Amino acid sequence: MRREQEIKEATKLEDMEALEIVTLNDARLDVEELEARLEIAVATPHADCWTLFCCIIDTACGVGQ
Amino acid sequence: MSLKSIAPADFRLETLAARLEQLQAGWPSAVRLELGVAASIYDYHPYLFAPAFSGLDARQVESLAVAARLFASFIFLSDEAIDGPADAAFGPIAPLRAAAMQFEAYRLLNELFPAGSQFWPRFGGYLRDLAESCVIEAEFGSGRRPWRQFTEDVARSVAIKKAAIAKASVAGLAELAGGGGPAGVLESAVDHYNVAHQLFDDLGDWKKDLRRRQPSLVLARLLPDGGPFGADDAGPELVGGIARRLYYEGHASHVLRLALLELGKADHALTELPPLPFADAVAGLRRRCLDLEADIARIVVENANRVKAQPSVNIAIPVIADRPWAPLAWTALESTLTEWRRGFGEARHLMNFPWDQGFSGATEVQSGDVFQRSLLAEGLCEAERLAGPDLEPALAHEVTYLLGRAQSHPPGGWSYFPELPELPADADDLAQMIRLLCTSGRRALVPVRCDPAIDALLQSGAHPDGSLETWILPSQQRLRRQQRQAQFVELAWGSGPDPEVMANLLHALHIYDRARFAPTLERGLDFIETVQGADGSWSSTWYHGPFYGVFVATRALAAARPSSGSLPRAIAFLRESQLPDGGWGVDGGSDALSTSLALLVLALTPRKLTQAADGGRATRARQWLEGAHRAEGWTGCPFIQMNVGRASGGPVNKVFYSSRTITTAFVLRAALAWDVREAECAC
Repeated sequence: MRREQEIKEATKLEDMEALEIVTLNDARLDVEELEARLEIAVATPHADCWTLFCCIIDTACGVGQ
Repeated sequence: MSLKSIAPADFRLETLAARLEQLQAGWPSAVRLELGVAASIYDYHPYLFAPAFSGLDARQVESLAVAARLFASFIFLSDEAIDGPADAAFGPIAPLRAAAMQFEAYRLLNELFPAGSQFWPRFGGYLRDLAESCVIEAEFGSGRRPWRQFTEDVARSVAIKKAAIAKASVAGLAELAGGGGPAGVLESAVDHYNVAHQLFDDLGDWKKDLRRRQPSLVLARLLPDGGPFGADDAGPELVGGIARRLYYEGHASHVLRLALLELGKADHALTELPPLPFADAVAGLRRRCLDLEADIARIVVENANRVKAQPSVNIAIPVIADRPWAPLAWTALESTLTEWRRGFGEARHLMNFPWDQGFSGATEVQSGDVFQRSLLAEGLCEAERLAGPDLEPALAHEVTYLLGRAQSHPPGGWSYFPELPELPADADDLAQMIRLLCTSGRRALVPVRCDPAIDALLQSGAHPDGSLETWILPSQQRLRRQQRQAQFVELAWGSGPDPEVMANLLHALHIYDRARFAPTLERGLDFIETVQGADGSWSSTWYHGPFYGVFVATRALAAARPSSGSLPRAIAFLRESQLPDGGWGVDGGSDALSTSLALLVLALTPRKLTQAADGGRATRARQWLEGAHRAEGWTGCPFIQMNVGRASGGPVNKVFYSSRTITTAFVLRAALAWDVREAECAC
């Protein structure tokens, strides 16, 4: 009985590991958005300035008010 | 002039440029002393620490800053050479440039520090550290040492030595201040910052480092036995598998946490000192690490949950004879479904909207996929003609998602970046949703979901010439949020009609209720006809090249005004712009997106306007598309074009959005349209 329990526990553990591996190999886990996010993070900040002059925004939009 | 302390405000970028130009005068112009890289802290490095020292001479600090800039440029140039084949942008004379940079830097330093100065042994030590770090990296890179030995301690030591030269700014200031000041504390803070920066950079460069066999902590965690030695070994499948482990096993987050720990130590070292600009650099890097860590965690959880919840959709590709467009459509559909199973992550548009430019999103990096997924859902909806009801669960999943992304405040509608408070709902996204709901059998949802936004646009955004604004904002009783959005329309997004957006909306209104919107359609189509270019095309505000504009304008006219005189001119434009290889393109060569859009236009041309040769044109285009197919679909092409700076009247910087998934979906739609058209012809 004890041996059976040990086998059961061991099998359970293996199943869990297998599940983890299957999950990580799942092609449905997208990485391209994560890669795009990483690319933005390491890019020089403010490469694209929408408003041209921050002072315009400060005046018009009351940033920081 | 002696000063008690030098403030960062004393630094002027134009001073650095002028000093470099003076030095440049003695060298051939090809041997440039400046790198032409983006602004960085190495443009003014000593000024980051100057307030910690007293008794500094302003002119001497300026010279130290110029020397630091030159030496940093030399290091960056050398990094390119050490890391592998020198970047072509650095040119074959890079070694000469490096020599010139060093010479001028040493000449300046020699003026500042006499031969017996304590500065020189320190400076020599930093250079020896740099050399040692390069040798260690080469040992790991060559495979002589296994990557599992590139532990956190080794990574930290390499990072400190690699960037040790940055401490020369502190050592120089200490000497110029007469040997006083908190040099030791500052050097420790610089070490912590440099380790954090290296960890952050290594994470960003992981693919490049994998190709170059450059060891880093994050790669050593992923590949303890070393990387694939040889560029050919690092194929897309292997890289994709490593990428999944990087994010979903938590390696990326672990490295970011280590970086944050180092930044905390840097801050701790600075606590007893007066406020320094260097603390701002530490804070800036911390924010980038924190934002990235939070976004990675969010995206990972969203994807894991999606994989559990998303219905299973599988199609079996039949063997089809005598329908030349069907295999192309099935191939494109299969790729589109693969991307759908991944949550269309590749199609998501990420963009930076910095707080210091006035944007107030919860995070600076905003994510948008409403427009993209409505286009993709349209493609799935059209593909039901080919694949049948098996696609319905995917379509229903997408419609549910898109309805959930509507703006919650009246008048509703959809915004391209839904979480960006400054961006209003727009007519383009509204048009997409109206058409998707109508064509997917959900027309009954349109009055509740779309009518308030349609009414708001037609009430406040319609002009006497029949044109319509793009942004949906009520004319009166605007919420505070909408008042701010209206300011940003003027400052950032731009006002006035965008013909391609209008054409998209007019077509959607025609499908939805042509009788109810008859006056709007009449005046609007008049406007569309008026703005057609002399060559028969339409220019677009928000899309790259002429083909998307021609597609949406032709679609609207063909549906609502098939006798329009604009249609023959549009078709003539397409016929004339087909390239000798059978495709269409924007930037010289053919591309899959332009080719698909052109095919869509030809497919929806009224019969009376077609020529016998159009079938041959389409066949050649199909053959071009078949040849351009890649493993995961068709290469992403510039699609959306944002002319940043347009509204504020400044220099315009074009920012493009490309997506493999979107390009593939347009191939799908073009193939479906021609499959149907040829089937009708056969009947």
